[in-house]
Amino acid sequence: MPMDDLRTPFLQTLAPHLASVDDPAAIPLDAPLRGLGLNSLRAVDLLIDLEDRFAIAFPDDSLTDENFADARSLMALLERLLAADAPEAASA
Amino acid sequence: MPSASPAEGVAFRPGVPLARQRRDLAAVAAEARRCAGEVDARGEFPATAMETIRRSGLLGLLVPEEHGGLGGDCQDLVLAGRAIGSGCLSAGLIFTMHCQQVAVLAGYGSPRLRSEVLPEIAEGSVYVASVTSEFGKGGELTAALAPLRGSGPTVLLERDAPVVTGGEYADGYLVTMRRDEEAQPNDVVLVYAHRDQLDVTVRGAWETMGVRGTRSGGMRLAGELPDWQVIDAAGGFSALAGTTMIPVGHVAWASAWLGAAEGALREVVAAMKDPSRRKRLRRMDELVAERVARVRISIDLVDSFLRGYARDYEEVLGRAGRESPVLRSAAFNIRTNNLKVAASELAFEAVDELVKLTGLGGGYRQGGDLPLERSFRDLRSAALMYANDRLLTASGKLALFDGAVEPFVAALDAEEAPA
Repeated sequence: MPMDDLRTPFLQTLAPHLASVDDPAAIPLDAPLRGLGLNSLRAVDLLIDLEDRFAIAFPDDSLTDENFADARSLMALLERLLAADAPEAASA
Repeated sequence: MPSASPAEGVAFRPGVPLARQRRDLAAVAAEARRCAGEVDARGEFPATAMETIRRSGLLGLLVPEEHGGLGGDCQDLVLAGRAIGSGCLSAGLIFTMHCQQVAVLAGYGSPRLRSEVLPEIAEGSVYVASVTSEFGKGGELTAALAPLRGSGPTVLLERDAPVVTGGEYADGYLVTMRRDEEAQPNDVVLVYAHRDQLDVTVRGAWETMGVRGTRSGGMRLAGELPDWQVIDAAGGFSALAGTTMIPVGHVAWASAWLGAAEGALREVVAAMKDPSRRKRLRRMDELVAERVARVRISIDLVDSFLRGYARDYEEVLGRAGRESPVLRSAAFNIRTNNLKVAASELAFEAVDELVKLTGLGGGYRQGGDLPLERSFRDLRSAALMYANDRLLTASGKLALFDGAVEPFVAALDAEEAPA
């Protein structure tokens, strides 16, 4: 899935986990997620929701500050995982 | 084409802490896991897992390096036992109980027995089973009815045992015997016997609810043995049992049980993470999350208790030796009993909770993608192996003679304090 197609469903999944955001489209990609109200407990909930929505599994070492720095870094992680899954999906 | 063994070429190295060889342990565990379902379904000895363990050098885990072994201690037994137990509890119990026998042989065997048997164990050609059960003695470990006969350079061993864990396929046996025909039942010696020195008859099937691969049916052993294969410990068998056989045995069992519970949780977590299976298994509501957390608490409690016990026990051995009065104290006895009781109960509870979590369509189901019902049946045996009721009764009474209520290592410091 190209980044542009990913953006809307990603932000829709992200938005409910950010205490200070109502409109998914208004999430700034480069603002610290922590500043938008994402604490560590919500980060786990967010990963679980992303796993369910995109039918992927985040590896155990995904819960890093780097991945959760901002929406862009998290979306990049998601994109890498989807790309890693893609060959399997294509052959299925 | 059969897939390659995940443990192909694994060889553990002496002089390197086992903790730094975890990847190899995981490979042996994966091999055990591969066959665990069939072992259980057919009630077969875990031959492939045991062959891997033999080739890897792990049979010699507790054999001193001077005899060709890995020179490990109880803390290494914890690592290895939980790894193999996580793949296949039958293999884990056979392996860890073998290590218990090795600890006794290495600590108490005559020089000749040590130098002849320990290298064979280390090279992987001998796994040893424990023969302590006996009809009519009421499950008491430190008693034996069948007497050794004969005098001079050879002794005659004839022994019936109702349950011998891993006995059917063992290469050697460590057997409790009454010292001679005149001796009291509590005057016990241990005898090592190689399988080819004995007529071995398997009596009675091992058709059980769980740990079916241990093939722990009844046995009759008979043979003539040189007297240097008799282990007559200073202080008697009860001292040997109390300071080595029982402590190492409880570490052995607890490690394998903990591994089984850890393996079960690992499989459930993997299934909950797997996109194709997730919908069935994961509605990550608060109840599910709490149940997973409870399972983790049970596992963490056993892990902490077990590793702490192994560490403290090795500390006493290192600082004060096997003769230390600390190892005869009520505090040590109670802790040793509690390790077994707590590990057996909590490991089973953990898997019971996982069955509840995954339900009739998941963990309760035979032949499904989760092996929980096997782990559940396997771990049901934990409380029955040297029954918890017996240990609890003993510990409760002993507690009246341990008014200080302190960990046993505390006495070690008191012992060394200047007067």
